[in-house]
Order: sequence, then C-alpha cells, then structure tokens
Amino acid sequence: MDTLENVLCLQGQQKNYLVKLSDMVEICTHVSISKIPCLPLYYLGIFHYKGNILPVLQLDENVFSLTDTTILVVKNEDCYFGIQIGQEPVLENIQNMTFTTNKQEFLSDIWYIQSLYQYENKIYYFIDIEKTIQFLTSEEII
Amino acid sequence: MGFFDKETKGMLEVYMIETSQLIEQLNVILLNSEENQCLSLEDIQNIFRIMHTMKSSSAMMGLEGLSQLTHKMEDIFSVYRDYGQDIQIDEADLFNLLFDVFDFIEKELGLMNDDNYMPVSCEALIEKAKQYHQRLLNKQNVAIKQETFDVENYFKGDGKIVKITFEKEYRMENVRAFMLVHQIEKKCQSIQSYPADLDDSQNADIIQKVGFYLCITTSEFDEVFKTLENGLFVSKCEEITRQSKNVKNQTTLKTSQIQLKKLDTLENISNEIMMNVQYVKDHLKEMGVEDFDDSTLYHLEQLSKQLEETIIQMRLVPIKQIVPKLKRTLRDICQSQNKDVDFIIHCGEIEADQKIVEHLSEALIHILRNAVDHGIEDTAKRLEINKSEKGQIVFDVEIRRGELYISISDDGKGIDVQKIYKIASELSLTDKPIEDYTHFELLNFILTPGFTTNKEVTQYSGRGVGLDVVAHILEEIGGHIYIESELNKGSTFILTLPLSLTTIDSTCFILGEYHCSIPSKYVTYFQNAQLQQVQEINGKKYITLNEELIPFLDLYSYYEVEKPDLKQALLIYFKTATQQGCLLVDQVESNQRLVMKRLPVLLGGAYRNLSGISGISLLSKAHICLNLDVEILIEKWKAGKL
Repeated sequence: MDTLENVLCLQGQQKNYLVKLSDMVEICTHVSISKIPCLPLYYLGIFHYKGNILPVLQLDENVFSLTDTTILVVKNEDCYFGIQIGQEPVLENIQNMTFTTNKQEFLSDIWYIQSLYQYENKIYYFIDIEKTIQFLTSEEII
Repeated sequence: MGFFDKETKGMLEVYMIETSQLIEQLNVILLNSEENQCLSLEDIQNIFRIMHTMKSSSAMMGLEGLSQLTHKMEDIFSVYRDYGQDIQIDEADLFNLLFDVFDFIEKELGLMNDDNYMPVSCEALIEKAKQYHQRLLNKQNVAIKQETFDVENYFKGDGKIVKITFEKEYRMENVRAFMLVHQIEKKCQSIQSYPADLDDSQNADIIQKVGFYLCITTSEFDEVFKTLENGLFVSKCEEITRQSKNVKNQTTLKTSQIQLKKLDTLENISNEIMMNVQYVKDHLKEMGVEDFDDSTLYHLEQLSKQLEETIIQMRLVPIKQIVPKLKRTLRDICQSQNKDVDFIIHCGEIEADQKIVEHLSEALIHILRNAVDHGIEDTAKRLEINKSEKGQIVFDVEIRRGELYISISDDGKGIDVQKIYKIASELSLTDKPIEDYTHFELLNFILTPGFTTNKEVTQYSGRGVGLDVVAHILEEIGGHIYIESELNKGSTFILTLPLSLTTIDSTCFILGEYHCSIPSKYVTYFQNAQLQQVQEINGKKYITLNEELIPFLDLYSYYEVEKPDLKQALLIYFKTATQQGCLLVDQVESNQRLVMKRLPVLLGGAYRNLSGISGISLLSKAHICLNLDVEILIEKWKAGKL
C-alpha cells in the first residue's frame, strides 16, 4: 500500500469511515436526490451529475434530508456513484493514524472494509471502493 | 506497462480504426471472390494496397511481426499484380493463407486495447507466406517481364499525373524528358517526375521500359498537356486518373469514426443545452410568461433542436455495413460443419446509430451461429425429410413503428420445447409443470445464462454462452428479443431496437409520486379510467376496448405508491411492434422530446428488468422522469407480477 496516502475522514451516524483521496471525484453540495422505485434499501435514490445519472448510497443510518444535501462522488474505473455525507470530510494523512487491524469483510451489507485505523481516540473503518463496487455490481439486486 | 509506449499509444486508436477498416475491405474482397471463384486484377491491386498500408502503419506502431507478415503478403501480391491476370480460386493455398492472415490480424486488433497487450507471435504464418512467395517465384521462372512502378504512391500531393511514352528508335530518353520539363516549367506551379534525376543517363533505360511520368500542378492543364503531346519524339501522352480517389472518400468516413468519442461529448453538451432551455422556459412559465413565439428563447430552442438533429445524423451508419461480417461468420461455420446454406439478405438502405449497429452485429453473429449449429440439418438429413438440399437463412431489416425490426429466420429443425423444458428442469429453472408454461415462455428459457442443448461443445456454439449474451447485448442498447419456432419448420429470432439512442418524443404522465414517460409513438388512445371495468382472467388483469382484451398494467402497488382516485385517473393505451396494453396513471402531463440518460452502471440490467425503467430524463433541475419500457412491463404482467 502507498504509505504516503491521503484519506478522507467521513463521519457516519454510527461509525467513522475512511476513503482514499484518489477514489474521490468531487464533493457536490446543495444537491437534490430523487427517489426511484424498486431500489434496494441502501440506495437513497439517484442524482444528476454532469450529464449522467448516478446512484446515491447511504453511509449507514439515513437521517439527512434528500433535498439540499451534500454528496461525495467516488469512482473506480468507469463506475461512479455518490455517498450522502452529513458534513464535509476532513483530509488526513494515513501515516498520522494508527493501524489497528485488517478487516476484509462487509459492513452494513455494502461497504467492503479493508482495515481499521485509530486516530484521535476514534476508530475509523477504511472502505475499499473498488471491492465495494465489485460487490454491488455482482449482486443481483432483486 | 503495456506494449505501446506513450507516443504510440496516442496513435493506437487511429491505427486500430484504419486497420480494422482495411481488414473489413479485405473481408469483402475475399467473400466476393469466393462467390465469383476468382480474384480479379482489381482485387489483387486492392489487396496489395491493403497489405502495403498495413505494413507501414504496423511498423510505425512497433508491431514487427504484423509488419513482416503484411510485407510478405504484399510481396506475394506484387508478383500476382505483375502477372497482370486474374487468380482462379483453385489456388486454395492462397485463399487459406489469406483467411489465416485475416483472422490473425482481426484477433490481434481485438486484443490491442488491453493494457497488458503483447503482440502474439506470427512466425508460423510469416513462414507460410514466405514459402508461398518462394514457390510463386520458382513457378514464375522467367524474370519479371517489366519493371513496374507504383504511380499512386510515388507522387505526393494532388497534382495531375501524365504518362509520356517516347518513340522507340531514339535514345537518350532522359534528355528528351528534361527538355519537355523545361518546356512546361513556366506554366506549372510544381512538377515532379519519375525518374526524378533526368541528368542520370542510366534513367534512359527506365524511361524506355516503364515510361516517363510527370505529376503537375497547374491552372492551365489543357495547354500544358498539349505542349507535352506535341513534344519532340513523343509517341503517346496520357493522363492517368488516380484510383486512390475511392480511398480518399473512405478516409473521410474514417475520420467520422475516429470522432465518435468526441461526438459523444458533443451530444452530451447539446443535450445539456436543450435541458437548460427547458429549465428557463419552465422558470418563465412560473413567472407567468406564456408567449414564447419569436422570442430569443424560441430561436435558441430551435437552434438546439437543429444541433441535436445534426448530431443524430452524424452518428448514423448503414446497417448493411455489417453484412460482410455476417457472411464471413456463416461461411466459416458452414465450412466447419459441412452444411450448405443460402443467406438471403433484405437490408435496404436503413441506417441506425453507430453504437447500435456495432452491438447489433455482435448479437447477430451469435444468432447466426446458433441457427446453423442447432437449426439447419445436414444435407443427408434434409433430403431424408423432403427439404431442399440447401438450408436457408433469411436476414430481414425493416422499420416498424419508428423502431428497427430485424429478423433472422432459418428453415431448420426448429426448437423442441419438450427438450427445452427437460433441460430447464435439470437446471432447476422451472417451478411448474410444462402445461402451465406458454410456448413463448418455454422458448425464452434458451436465453438463460448457461443454457445449452448441445451436450458436446463445438467450436462455434454450445459452450453454454450464446443466446444469453444476445439478450444481454440487447439489454444494453434498449432492445428486445423474441423467438418464434415451429418444430421441423424452423425458427425466427426477432430483434427490436431503437434507431437512435439519444432523444425520444415522449408522453409524460404522473404515477403516484413519480413522473414517468413512454415513447409517444406507442401511444394510441387515452381514456377516463372510470369508463372501464377491470376483468381478471387466470390471475391476469384485462380491460376490454373495442371488443378486444387488453392487458391492464397497474404499477401502483408494484412501485409502492398510493393509488389514484379512479374518478380522475386516466388510461393510456399503447401498441409496440409486438405488444399492446394499457397503463393506469394519475394524469397526463405533456408531450415532449426527452433526453434519455442511461441507468447508472451500478444498477445495471438487473434493475431495468426488475423495475421496467430503461432510462431517466431530467424534466427540471429538481424533477426526474422515469422512462418506462412497456415491453418489460408486459412481460412482468404476463408473469403475473403486476
């Protein structure tokens, strides 16, 4: 792993998460999420991003309004999606954090967590976006 | 790190497009020559040119093997070209070699885009070509009669080419040529000559054998030509028309193909403009402005529509361009399975979006293979059951209800639904006895991934991949597949596809909390819901209109939204190329041209089949519109899910 990696710290309702900065595309503010039928529960809906329609996932528990919200757009290869976040993420260097343990399992049935880190007395769940996307596309969503 | 460095990588796209077009041209030549049983002189010239171009471009890309191979092929055809006569098809070795080379290059092209691409060795092929070339030279025995020279490729630029022949008895042709050039020099902007160096007396020989060529750029060509004609000791003076003019037309076509990615971007921008015009319009309407005629906004709207239509036009390609590929596929599989099939093509001049045509060709190849492999019987069997000796496959392209309607029919043995059911139950796909399935449902089992009736794997099909791939391809471009089959009579595969992927005239309506739309071309009739009585037959809901039972689609519970007040609700009747039905909705909103956005990759085809939503459009900044796919909804209704 790249030791000089920058990560984004995201605050969920239940847990704290890390996403590689290189997985991020953009943070969009004042966005409206539209609901569409027949979606699995962890999808909040979709939103219009630069001419494309992207699905939006919830980080964990959904407590935010769907209108005028903030979305972190991430991507892996050609696959983009949004994560609704409550507040702007904080940029940190992974070197400043303490590696706790390898995880490599799914959390809340969506997020593939590669490892845990500790930072300023908080536990952070490091999300592997690539594996998460692989899982979401492989899964029959029915 | 892949095979190509940064510099060559930049050229890769152009190289691949150019080479695949050359290969395609080669394919056409080969197939025609098989039909005519010979390679004409023109074919030989063309193959020579194709090999020549591929040789240099492959060398430029650092593809040594390919370059050597095409070089050898070029050598072979240069010998044939100098023979100056047609090649009869009985030179089987040559044709096999050509097809091998064709297959090799095509395969390589398919792999080149891969990041980890490494050229596959073609030593064996080169060796084969070398041997053939050697045999050819030995056969020839006599030295090449005449020195030749490639006029087309020799002169650069656009000038007119003139060939001058001097009277035989006189010597010092180079000096006479020099004099001629001197005579016309003043009237020409530029002159190139072959041979170039006229001071060199050795060139006199060349002029004697090959002739003296000039390439002239001048505004007074007729006059210059006359001067040349009347020159001293000139016996003949002729203008040579460049054959490569055709090639030039193809070049323009190439560029438009290279630009497809840029066109995608352009289209996206044009769509965004259209949408923003709509936003402004909505905003003005909210402020009470209704009359837009002759306003700047009106003109802007017209312009954006024109822009969009132009882009759609630019993306259109004729469907018949995939025919050579299909013919080749058929030829190969017929040859390997020892079957004889007539391929009848009714294709006309129908055009469709390039992306659709590309996907289509892939789907059709699978269907064709399947038709020969599973459909057409071998000759002995056919004669035994009183069928014509040769099998028949008909490929038909039409436009129906603004959509592409494509069918491939064979007169083979048809699909045995009993057998299908048996295999389906072995694969645990069935959940009820065979009597409870419709003929249509049983046939549809063959579109399931992993489904195969062939116990043995053949080279062409029966790997359990095939028809599900077709279904998948069609899903991607918003098309549908239908199978019709009668035992011992044959099968027909029908594909319906949109002509263009981008915008579509839609009827928009409200369904609970959602804005939805279906293509306007399908809509036949509106009716107040309270005028109708819903009937239930075998668990499926119908409505009677003009004494006809029409499927009644109620999406409210399926989409988990509140049912409308029936007193105010509406019914929308629709009819597609193959299906009809009626939809219950709250109210109809408008008819408008919608920009279809693809569903997110993450949701994929599974979501489309689950929800019956095939795309999404933006009505305003805050409102989206779900583009419903009525054919999927009808399938859901048939399955008793609505």
